[in-house]
Amino acid sequence: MNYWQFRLRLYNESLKQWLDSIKQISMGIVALFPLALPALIFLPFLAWNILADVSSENTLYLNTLWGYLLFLYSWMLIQRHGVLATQHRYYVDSLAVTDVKRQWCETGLIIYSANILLLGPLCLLLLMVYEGTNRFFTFPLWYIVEQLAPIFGLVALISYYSVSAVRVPKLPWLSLLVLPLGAIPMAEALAKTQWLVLWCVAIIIERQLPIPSFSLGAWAKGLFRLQVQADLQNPRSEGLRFVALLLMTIVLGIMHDGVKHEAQSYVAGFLSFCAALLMASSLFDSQALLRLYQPYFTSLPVSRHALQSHCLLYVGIKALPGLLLLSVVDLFSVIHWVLWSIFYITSLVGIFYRPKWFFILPIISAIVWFLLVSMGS
Amino acid sequence: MFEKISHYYQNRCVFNDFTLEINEPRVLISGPNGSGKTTLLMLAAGLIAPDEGKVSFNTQSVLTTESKKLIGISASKVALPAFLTVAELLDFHQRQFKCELSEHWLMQFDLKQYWHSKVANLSLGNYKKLSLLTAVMHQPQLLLLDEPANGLDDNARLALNLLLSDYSGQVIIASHEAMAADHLQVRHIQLQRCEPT
Repeated sequence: MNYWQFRLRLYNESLKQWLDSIKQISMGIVALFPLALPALIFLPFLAWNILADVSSENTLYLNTLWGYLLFLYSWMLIQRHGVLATQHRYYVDSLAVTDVKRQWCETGLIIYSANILLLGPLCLLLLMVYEGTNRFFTFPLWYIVEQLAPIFGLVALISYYSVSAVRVPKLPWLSLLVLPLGAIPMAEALAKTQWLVLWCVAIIIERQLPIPSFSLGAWAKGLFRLQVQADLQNPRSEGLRFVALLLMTIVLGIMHDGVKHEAQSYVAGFLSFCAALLMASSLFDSQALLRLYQPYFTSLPVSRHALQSHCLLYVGIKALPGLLLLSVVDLFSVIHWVLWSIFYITSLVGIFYRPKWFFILPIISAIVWFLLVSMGS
Repeated sequence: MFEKISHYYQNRCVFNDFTLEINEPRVLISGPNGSGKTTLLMLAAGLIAPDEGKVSFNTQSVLTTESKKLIGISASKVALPAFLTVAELLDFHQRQFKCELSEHWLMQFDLKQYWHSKVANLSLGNYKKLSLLTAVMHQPQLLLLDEPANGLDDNARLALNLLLSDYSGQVIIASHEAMAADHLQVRHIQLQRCEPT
């Protein structure tokens, strides 16, 4: 086994561990959307079509670009430990391998792990450049550049985010959160190329800014502090949950705007279902924490009931940023908020009593709602 | 008081119809690896429930929340939240038990300098000291210590011996070493491996 094969093996093991850890929730998704899964595979192709097309509408373009980059960044962040072999860091560092070789291997692993998300647009760019050279003598240069700018910008951005997710500890809060949130409402104010330049400027600025330090101070005490610290120690889980909610909101928001008025309520209902399940899944983390330190928690003079009540309250508080996001995008009417509450509570009950089959209760609620709506119309 | 305790790990028997009453203020439990020393302490602390039988302290089942206030345990199986700092853990712990942290023992165990260190980053010895501190912090009537001297340096061992000799409550130690042996009434309990039936 050579060094590359060794690193690849470590990466595969890490990915396998991660896949095992999300088996529970992914089982729910597979059970819920067996037909939607093949369609999900085609989503990147749809995204490339929008992102490479110079004539696509700016709002759609920015929404798609944001969703694509968020997904790619999260995907790479998940695989960061595998690519860098952090679990076996000391052993890997003890090997007599040159820095150059190690860097090359890691770059290879980044490309391997970004996979189709990186290679797809790269192939598309090469194809378009090849076609552009054929047109070089028939069209003016500015026209060719204008045609290639969106796909070139996309490749540059995804290359940057693929590498930065693995190698840069700073989170891209400005370029992947603040800028898109501010840009989408005024998407038509600038041309695509200008937005891409602005995106790059945001990246440069956020790279220069120091990492904001966050201290809890003295405001949280007791079990709340313990849970907050546990989340701060491992922010990946909550962060990815929020990103997934953000992605879902972007994709379903685009869909909501694209479908007929009569169908919009179903899209919002679907979003309320997915968002509730995702936000309630935070209870899995709290339960895992209780399991991990079970002997210690049992040694405390706190009843199991009180511990679980704290967990539920804490999970409820953690749902607030997600609720704020859902209210900002303004896709829900009163009925959707009611539905969200029902799905959320039934998911919590499911996770609490039957974690392996937590999705059964919200599905039953969804089916009942669907039947009631069908009978009503 | 262990009454007709039976306990199994999967199919392996650790205790079978085991009865034991402990009234002495100092008890040393020893025995070969796998004889159930740590399990006995975990049962006594009410951290695990026996498959059969009952464990009580002062006639109260150790499984109740109220009895937790009377018991303190330091054992490697009782992992402390690694993501907290020493200060945060001690603050959390004293809030749960509504007790005050003794500055004296903090100084004796030399933990003040690790005040803002994460529990995960502590050395084996310092982790053990912190575990001991959390066990004695609320001055429990029953103190259960699993291999308390493991990883401790000479100064810390001295502090531990001082703590044990002055301790007013009942102390049960599972160890290979002759801890608390200088106390007047030390009962020695030798555990044997549970033979398969």
